[in-house]
Amino acid sequence: MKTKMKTKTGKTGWRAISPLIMFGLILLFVSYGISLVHVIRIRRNMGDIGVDDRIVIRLAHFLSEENVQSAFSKLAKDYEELHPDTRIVVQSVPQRAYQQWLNTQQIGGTTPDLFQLQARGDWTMASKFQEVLTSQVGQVNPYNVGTDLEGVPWRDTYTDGMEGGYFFSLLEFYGIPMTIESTRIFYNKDLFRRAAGSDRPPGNFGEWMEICAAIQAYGEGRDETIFPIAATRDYALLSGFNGFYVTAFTGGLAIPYDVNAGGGPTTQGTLWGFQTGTLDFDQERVRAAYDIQLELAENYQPGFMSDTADQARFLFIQGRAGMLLGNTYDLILFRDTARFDVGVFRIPLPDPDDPKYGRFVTGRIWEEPVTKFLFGLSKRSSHKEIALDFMKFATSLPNNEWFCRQLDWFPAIRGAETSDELQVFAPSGEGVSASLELVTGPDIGLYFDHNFLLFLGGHLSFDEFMDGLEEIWRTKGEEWLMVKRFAITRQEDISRERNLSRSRVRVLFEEAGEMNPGQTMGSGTAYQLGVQIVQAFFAHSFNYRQFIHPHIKDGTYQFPPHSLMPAELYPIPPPDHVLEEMLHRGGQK
Amino acid sequence: MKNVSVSQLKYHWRVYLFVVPSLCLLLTFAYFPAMGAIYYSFFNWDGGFVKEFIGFGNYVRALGDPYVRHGYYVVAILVFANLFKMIPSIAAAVVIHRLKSTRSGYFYRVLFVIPMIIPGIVMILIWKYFFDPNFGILNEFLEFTGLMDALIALDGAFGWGVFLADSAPAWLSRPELIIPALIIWGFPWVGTIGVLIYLSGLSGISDDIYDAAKVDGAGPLRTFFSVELPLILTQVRINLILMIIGTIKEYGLTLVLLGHTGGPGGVGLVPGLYMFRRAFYDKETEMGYACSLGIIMFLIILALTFVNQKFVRVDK
Repeated sequence: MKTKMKTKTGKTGWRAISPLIMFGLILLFVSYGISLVHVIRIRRNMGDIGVDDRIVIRLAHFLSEENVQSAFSKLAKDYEELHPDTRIVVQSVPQRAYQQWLNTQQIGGTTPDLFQLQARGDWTMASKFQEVLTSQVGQVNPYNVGTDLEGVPWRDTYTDGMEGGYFFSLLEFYGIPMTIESTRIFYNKDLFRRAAGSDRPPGNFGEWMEICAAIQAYGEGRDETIFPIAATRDYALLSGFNGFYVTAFTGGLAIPYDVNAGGGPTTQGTLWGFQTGTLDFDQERVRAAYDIQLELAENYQPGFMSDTADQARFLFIQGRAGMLLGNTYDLILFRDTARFDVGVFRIPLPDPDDPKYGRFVTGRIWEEPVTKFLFGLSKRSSHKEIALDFMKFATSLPNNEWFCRQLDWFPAIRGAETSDELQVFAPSGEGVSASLELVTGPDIGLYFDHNFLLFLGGHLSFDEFMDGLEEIWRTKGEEWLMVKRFAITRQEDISRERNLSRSRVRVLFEEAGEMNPGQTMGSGTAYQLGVQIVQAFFAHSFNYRQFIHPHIKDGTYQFPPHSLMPAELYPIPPPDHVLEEMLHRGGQK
Repeated sequence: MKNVSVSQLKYHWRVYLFVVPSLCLLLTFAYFPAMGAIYYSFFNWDGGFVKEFIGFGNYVRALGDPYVRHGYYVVAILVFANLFKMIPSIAAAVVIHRLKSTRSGYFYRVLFVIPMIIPGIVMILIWKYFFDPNFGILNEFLEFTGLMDALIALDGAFGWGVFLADSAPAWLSRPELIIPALIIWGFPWVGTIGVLIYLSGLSGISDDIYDAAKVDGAGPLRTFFSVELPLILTQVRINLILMIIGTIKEYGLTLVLLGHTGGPGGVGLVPGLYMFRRAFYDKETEMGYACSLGIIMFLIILALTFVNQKFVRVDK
C-alpha cells in the first residue's frame, strides 16, 4: 500500500516539504547542473577542438604571482593573434598543492599539454608522462627569424645549450627552460642608508658584518626590533649559506677521494677515508667554514630555526629585517610588496687579507649556468606540435627577453638583453665547483639537520658537532652505502663518465679552458661550446658501458685507475652474482 | 554474533549483494593499502625499483633506532599531558549542559561546532605565529601578565638558562622549550569534538537523577563528581582512546611548527614525523622502513586500545 508523507500541518507529498528545504534542494540541483555543464565544457576543451572551434593548449605553472600570470597571458594573446585557430589557457596552481595536483592529473590522464616541472631530472615521472624532446630541440626555432639566432637550432639558442632540460639519467631532453635561477641576498636600501649611511652593498664579508652591526645598533634604540638578516630553517641548512661557505672553504680538499672525476671527494671516497683513518672533518678549513656561519647566525632573528621562508619574507617586507637570502623569483615579489627600495647582492666572501678567514677561501663559487623554470610536454597531449610551437614562440629571442624583463628574471636565451640591475643574477661562470661532502644518506642527513641547528644556536661546539658527524659517517654511513651499493655504484659510474667526457672536451678544445680538479670548471663559454660534444661522449660511453666498464679487469673488480684508492680497500665490492653478470656481458663484445 | 546459515544466505542474497560494492571499496581503499604496508615492511624498498626481501630486518632496525625510542618518549610525555588537557573539555561541556536557557545551550553548542569547519592546519599555523618570539602573542601575554618576570626569576633560581631578561624566549627554537610548546599548544584545550561527545553523554542523564541529587542536598561540585562524571565515563573513555590514538599518530602539528627536522636536536621528532621523513622527505627514501615504523605504531595503538578496553572499566 502506498503511503504519502504527511506532516503536522496535514500536507502530503511534495507540499510537505518546507519552502526553506525546497529552496535548498533547488540550489543544490542548480549548482550540480552548473558544475556538470562546466566539467563537460572543460572536458570538451581539453586538447581538442574547443567550444569556439579553436584548438586549446593548456599550460600549467605554480608561480602564483600576478605578474607571472599576466606575462604568460600576454605571450598567449600574442601567439593567438599569430595563430587564430589556437587558444592558450594558462593555469596557475599554488605551489604547495602543485605536485599532488599534477600527479592526479597525470594519473587521471588529464595533464595539461605543457606543465612546469617541479624538479630538474625527475626521470621516474618524465619517463612515464613526458614526451621526449631530443629530436625537437635540434630543429631551428622559426620565431628567431630576423634576429642573430636565425637558423640556429633551438637547443643552441640557450645560454647553456639547453642543458637545464636534459635529463642525464634518461639521456634525453625532457624540459624547456625559460630563465636562469640564482640565489642572492636581497636588501632594504632605505634601511641601509639610515643605519649604515649608504645603500652600497658590501664588497666582502667584513664589510657585510659591519653593516649588520650598524643595523643592529640602529634597531636597538627603537620600539620595533630590527634584525640584520631574516633567516629560515631551510636556508640555514644545506641549500643556503652552509652550502656556499662549505664549498668556498673546502673546495679542492680531499681530492684523493675523488672517485668520479668530478673534482671533489665522493661519498664512497669519503667513507673510505674514514675507514682508513686518513680523513677527518676536524680540519681548519672545515672549522673556518662553520665559524663563519656561527658569526653570521648572530645576525639572524631569534627563533629562525623554526621559521619558514614565508615568515622570513614577511619580516623583510615589513621592514623588520635588513636582508634576506632568496632566489631570482623573489625579486618581483619584493618590488611589488615592499615599501622600500630593494637591492640585490651576491653572498660576500672574506677577502684574501681577512685576518680570520682570508687564508681559507679557495675562491669564488662556480654557479652552474643551467637554465630553469622548466616546462614538460605531456605524452597525452593531442596537439604536441602546437604546444611545442608555443614554447618555441615563448623562448624566441625577443619574447624571452620581453618575458624576463616583465618579471625581472635573468633570460635563458643567448643575446637576450637584460637591465644592468639584473646582471647581479648572472651565474658566476668561474670558481670553486666541488667540495667536501659532509652529508649523504638519510641517517647522516638526520644527524646533520638536528645538530647543525644546535650548533648554530650555540648548544653544541664545533668539536662535538664534528665528532658526532664522523661517528655517524663510520656507522650509519657504511650501513647506508651497503644498502644502496647498486644505486650508488651506478650513479657514480654515470657521474664519472659524464665528468670524464667534460674533461675530454677540454682536451679537444683549448678554448674550453683548463680544469683544475676541485677548483675551477673553466669559463661559462666552455659549457656552451662543449655541451653538444659532452652529450655525444656521454651517450656513447653510457650506451657501450658493458665494453668499457672500468671496474672489471682481468676478471677482478678494480677501482678506477685515476683514483688513488687501491682496489682491495674499495669499501663496497659488488656481490659475486653481479660481478659474474658484468664479466659475462663484458665477454660478449 | 549470530551465524548465517546457507539457507538464510540463499534467502537474503539480495541484501548481501547490496553490501558487496561498499565492501569492495573498503577492501580496496582501506585494507589493501594497509596490507601493502605490512608486505613492504619486510623489504628494503625505496618506493621505486629497488626492493630486496630482508625479513624482519626493518623491525629489528626500528627496535634499535634511537630516533624511534626518542619519538615514543616524546609521545609518552604528550599523552600524559593530554590527560590533563581533557579536563577543560569536560568542564566546558558540564557548564553548557547546566545552562538553564535552552536557547543559550543551543547557541554554545553551535559555537563549538563552528570551529570544526576551520581546517586543523590553519589552527596550527595561527599557533605558530603565537609562538613567534618576536611578535607572538604568547610572549606578549607573559609580559602583560607579569608571568615572564616570574619565569625569569625561576630561571635565575634553577639555572635553566632559557628565560632571560634580555631576550624573548624562542619557543620553537630552543630545545628546552619545544616539548613545553607542544603541550601549551591549543590552550585552553577545549576541544570541539570532545565537548560535543561529553554533551551527548550529559544530555542522556535523566532529570530525575538531578532532582534526586538535589533532594539529597548535593551542591554543584558534588553533583558533578557523584552524578555527571560517573555517567559520562563511557564518553570519557571514548575520548581517552581517541586522544591516545591521535597523539601517537599525530605529526602534522610538529611538521608545521618545527619543520621536517623536528626542531633543533630533533627534540620534537615524534614517531609519525620520523616515519614521514623516512618515507617521503629524504632524497633517498626508505619506504620499507617507514612501513615497518607504521606497523609498529599500529601495534602500539592496538595494544593501548586493548588495555583501555580491558582495564578501564565503566561501572555506572
